[in-house]
Amino acid sequence: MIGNDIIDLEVAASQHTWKRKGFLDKLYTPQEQEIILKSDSPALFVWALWAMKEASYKAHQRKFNLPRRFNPKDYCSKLDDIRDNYILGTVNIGECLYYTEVHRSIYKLHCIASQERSINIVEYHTSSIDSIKSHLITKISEEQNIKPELLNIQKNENFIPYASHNGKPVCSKFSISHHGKYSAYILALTNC
Amino acid sequence: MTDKEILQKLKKIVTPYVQNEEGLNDFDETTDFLNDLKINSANLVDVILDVEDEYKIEIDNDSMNGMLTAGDARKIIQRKLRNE
Repeated sequence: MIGNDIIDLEVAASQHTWKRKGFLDKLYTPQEQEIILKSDSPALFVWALWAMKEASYKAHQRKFNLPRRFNPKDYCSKLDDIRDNYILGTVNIGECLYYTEVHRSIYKLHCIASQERSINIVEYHTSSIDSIKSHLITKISEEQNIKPELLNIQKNENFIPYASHNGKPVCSKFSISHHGKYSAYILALTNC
Repeated sequence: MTDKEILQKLKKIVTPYVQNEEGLNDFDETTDFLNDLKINSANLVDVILDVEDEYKIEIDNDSMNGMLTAGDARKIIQRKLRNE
């Protein structure tokens, strides 16, 4: 299963004071707090780790069709490789492990989490929330050979989005994320 | 403190983080922070910290995990105020 999370770094910086008392304690494990506080750019790692946890949460919730929970400290992230334009790591939740890839620019972070180390996906970014669903529907329609006008994106009882064709679920794995000026989706190019 | 008073205060606390203003019009027990108000998940922690400051209570992890609607928050606040 896959999940993604996008962060508009400008919005994140304007809305949050991660130095606020209790902020790190409520969201991050002691090991994660150490990574953040020992780094040269704590704000970057506050958001990179958050994106890793959030993307993994989405993948995990989808895998087991779980009810929503706000339990960020149960998702334990580790960093493996930190480069100028990406950060590779893993996130553990219970017995499950997710591989994460954070792509970074000065404006935004986008994290992809997956159970497999390497996955074949389509990734699409836009600054228009309205166009993202129609773009995703077009892609799914190409993949599944279904007319786009017969496809819909809906949410199930656990608020997990899925594609449907004439009211019946279509087997496709995807994840959508919005934040500030940015939206992104990922779509797995594999059979379910 | 009555349920209504707590809900009124909660509405005030969440307002700065709301991305869907319409969701505030019929703010009640069933209002969902993420789905109805479109509060970003990273902002939920700000709501929780603001609630802690407002009521001088500490919201433990287990309680935080289930704080998804205004009704959930109201019950947690009352439980903490009773020191349970």
